[in-house]
This record gives sequence, structure tokens and C-alpha cells, in this order.
Amino acid sequence: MKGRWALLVGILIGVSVLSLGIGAVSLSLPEVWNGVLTGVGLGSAPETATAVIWELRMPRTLAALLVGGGIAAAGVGLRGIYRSPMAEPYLLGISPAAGLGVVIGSLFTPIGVPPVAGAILGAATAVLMALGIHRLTAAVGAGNRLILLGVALGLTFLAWTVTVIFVGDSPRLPTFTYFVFGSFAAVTWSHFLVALPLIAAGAAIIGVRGRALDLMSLGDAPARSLGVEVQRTTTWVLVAAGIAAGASVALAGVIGFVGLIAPHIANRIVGPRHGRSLPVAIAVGGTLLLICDIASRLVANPVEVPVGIVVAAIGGPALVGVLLQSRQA
Amino acid sequence: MLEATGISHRVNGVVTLADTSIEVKAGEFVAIVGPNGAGKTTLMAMLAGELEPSTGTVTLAGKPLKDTTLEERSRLRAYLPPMQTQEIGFTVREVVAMGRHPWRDQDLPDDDLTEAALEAAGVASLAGRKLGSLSTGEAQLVQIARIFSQQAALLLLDEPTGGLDISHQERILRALASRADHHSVVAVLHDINAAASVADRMLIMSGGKAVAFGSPAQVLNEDLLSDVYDHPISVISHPFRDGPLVLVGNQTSDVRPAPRPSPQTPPR
Repeated sequence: MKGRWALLVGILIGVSVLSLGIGAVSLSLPEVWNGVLTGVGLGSAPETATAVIWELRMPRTLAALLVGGGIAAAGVGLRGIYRSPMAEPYLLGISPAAGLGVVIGSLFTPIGVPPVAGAILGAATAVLMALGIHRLTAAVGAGNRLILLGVALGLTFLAWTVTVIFVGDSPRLPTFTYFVFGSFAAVTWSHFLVALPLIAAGAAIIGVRGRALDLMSLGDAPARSLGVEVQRTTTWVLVAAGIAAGASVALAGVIGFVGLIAPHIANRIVGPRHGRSLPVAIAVGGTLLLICDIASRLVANPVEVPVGIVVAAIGGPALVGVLLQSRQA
Repeated sequence: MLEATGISHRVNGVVTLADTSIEVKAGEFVAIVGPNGAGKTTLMAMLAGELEPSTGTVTLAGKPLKDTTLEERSRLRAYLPPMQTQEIGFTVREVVAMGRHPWRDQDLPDDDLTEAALEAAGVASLAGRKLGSLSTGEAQLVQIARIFSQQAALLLLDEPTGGLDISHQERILRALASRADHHSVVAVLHDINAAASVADRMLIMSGGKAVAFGSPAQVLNEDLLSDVYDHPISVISHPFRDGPLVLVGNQTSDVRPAPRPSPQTPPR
């Protein structure tokens, strides 16, 4: 276990260093190291390199790790309450709803609702719908029906998002297009620092409810008979997943699949206990998304492909893999 | 231990359980039998506190059930709802250890009690396997072990042997019967003879009502059962032990058509 953690953290750090070096201006490993040190007053790197690292790539790298971890944490919570490996914020329509919230909030309100507020309002709408549907269909096999509903709602939200963008006819239209497909290109420190506490809080709530989620894998009634407050746990985890997914969308746009794949990999590494798989899923999700972000900078260099496109290109086949695997099990 | 007085259940004007009373003493095995749709599962869910009665009260260990917290209930009674197939990645030991959840803040030897429950249900040899890799019967024995590890004085089991073969049914019933020496057990069972072989008392339900409650010898009578199941049923005395044996059909109903003559081979 310790060895696996060391490997995971090693990969995470290695990918982060790559992320600081790769982009329109390439920096070598010593240049990255020097630039990082200079930013804290210990090195002697040229001003531009230091600025590229500290103003552009550092927040971007940390944001990718944070968002990957945030949607992975939401995925761990959601698959726990819905007892389905396919329950994750994108497929349940939460992320697309958050995206619609951001776009409506900033284009159609006189004051310009901040993205985080819009995203969390949007996510809350989707969560409330999910909660209502969960109550209506709290039966065996409800999980799959819920995901179908989520996919249907998600596509609708996405369609409305694009419609709203076009109707809005904003000069910021290109930015929003990137936003619909997810991107870290415009991330700043202030965006990152707004999302950080929200995502941390969401992940922490899911972690605290980890044992309850373990017991809920027996079914709602057996869990209740063991003293688990199933309804309360469901509500808290949905709220936490909504906050984490909403803040992620506000920071980087709508990104799917990481919430599905990261918990799955974590499950494979440390088993089904939610408390144990949560930190692993966060680390895996962050690393995966950062790898995708690096790829998004390289694929069509010097033009950036939206990271969500890269994620979907990899995530689509991965979803097929998960489906085939769960059929065998 | 457990007492339900005049409980009923009505959803959208449809009565699924009408004015039913039952009391279960400490150390007693009560079997609930009756046709599908008789209200057995509704009754069990109410005894477990999963469902609120429309009228009447349920008292658990001297306290109205609705005044107890989930936590209190979890230490007093264990409840196994009807079997559901699930893909669970947990191992058998992990699942059985979940039964210790109600006692997590007490200083108890949880690991030993988990092992003892695995033994009592006869699944110790499966402890390291994943639940999802077991057969239906094995998986149900594991759920029984989990119910045992909960260390509640009252065990409520809804069709614990549903869909299982004779061997697994017997293993579960024997395990429950030996548990009933120190615990109260209430189980919904479909096999009347199996129920009669383990139960101290049987509750027969029909059309949302309890129609008989007493020892197997008292309640298993031909007219009652034939009426309840809407099919001729005979009761004879059991050849190996004291007590009744229930047979489906009777001398007039159970006449098989004469075997058809085997087709003649045409002469060559």
C-alpha cells in the first residue's frame, strides 16, 4: 500500500513538473526548477520564465489537479449512494447543469453572477432533480434508470448552454465555447483559490460519510437496519458532490469521464471501502486530468484543444471498457 | 421482546395489511407463512420499522418502535429484507464485519465476534472471497452471518431461504434454529414443512390478515390451509417426529393421468 502511494504521488509530481515545462514556451527541467525557486525568492531565472511558471502554468497545473480530484471525489460519493459504477457528475447531468448555470448567470443577469455561484446553483438544480428521482425510484436497479435520465438531462442542459451562448451574442463567445468543452487555458490564481475550499469541503464531507456509504452498498434497508441514516447520508453526499462538481465546472468548464474512471481505478487499487478509495481516486483523477491538459496543449501546438475534448477522446473508450467489465462481473 | 397490536397499512386506499397483532417472546422462533400478496413483507417491514403502520403500534423491548432512533433499533433487532442480487466488491469477512457497525463505539472484540458469526452461519471457509463471486445460496448464508454479527436480540428475516436449494435452505434454517436458543427469530418462509420443523409458533397470513397464530400442530389444519392457498391441501402426521406434515393436494385432486402407452413400433 505504501509503495503504491509512493508510486502514485511520484507520478503526480512528475506530471506536474512536465506541466510546468510544456506549453507555447518550452522550459527544460533545470529551467522549471530555477523558475519555481525564483518565484519564492531563491533562484535567478529570467523574469519571463518565472512569470510563465508562476502566473500561467502553476495555477493551471494546480487547477487541473484540483478539478480532477474534485470530480473524482464527487464520483466516489455518487457511485456510493446510487450503487452504480456509472454514477458520476457528468453522466448524472450535474456538471452540464452547472455549466448552464454559469452561462446564464454571466450572460443574462444585469449584475453578472460570479461563475462559482452560477455553477453551484445549476448543480443544485440537477442535484434536487436527482434527489427527487431517487425518492421516486428507490428500488433495485434504480441506478441505471437514473443514469439514463441523467444523460438525457445532461444533453438537454448542454444544448441549452450552447443555445444561450449563441443567443447571448457576447463578445466573450469564444471563451464560452472553450468553457462548454472544458479548458484550463484561462485559469488564474484567484479562480483557483475560490474553488479550492469548496472542492476540499465537498471531498471532506464525502470522506466523513465513507463508512455509511460502505454499509449502503448492502442496500438502503439493510443499511438502515444497521443504524445508518440513509436519507441524511444521501442528501449530504449529493450536496457535497454538487459543490465539488459545481466548483470544478466554474473553474474549468464541463469535463466528463474523470469522475467515472478515477473512482474505478481507485477501487481496483485499494478495494471498495469509500474512505480508503477516496484519497486514491482524488490523486488518480488529478493526475489523469493533468495528463489530458498537457496533451491538450501538445496535440495541435501552438493551438490548444479544449481539455474536455481530450478527456472525452480517452474517456469514451474507457467507459466502454467499464461497461464490458461490469458485464463480466 | 416484540409486540405489534392492531397494525394495518393502507396505500392509496388499498389495504395491504389489516388489523394484525403478533407478539414474539424472548428465545422464540416464529415463522410467518401464507400465499404471495398476503401481507407478509408489509408486516415484516413494519416490525422492522422500515414502514410506519397506518394504525396500531409496534413495541420493541418495551418501547414504542416509533420512539426509538435508528441507532437504538440497530442494537435491538437485525432485519434482512428479501434477497436482492448485488454486485458487491467487499469480501465476505468485510460484509459480515459490517454487522458490527451498531456497536462501533463500544469496546467490544469486533474481530472475534465477526469470526464467531462466520462460524455460526457456516461460511468461515469463504471469508476471504468477494461476495460477488459467490453462488446465491452462499451469498445468502453470508447475509445470515452478517445478521448474526449484529448481536441483536431479535432477528427479522424476510424469505431468508427464497429461491434456495434444499441444502442451503436447511443450512440456513438450522443456523437460525440454533440461534433461536438465545435470540428471538421471526422469519417469513414459503416452505410450510420447513417452517413447521423449526418454528415454535407459526403465523398464517391471508389477504392482509393473520388467520391463525399458534404451534404448528395447532395451526396446520387441512381446511384452513386449503382455504388460504385456494388449493386442496392435506395434513398427515409426520413419519419421523411428532407433528404435522403438509402435502399439496388430496386423494381426489391429486390423481395423475394414467401414463400414456409407449408408442408401438410398427411390425417390419
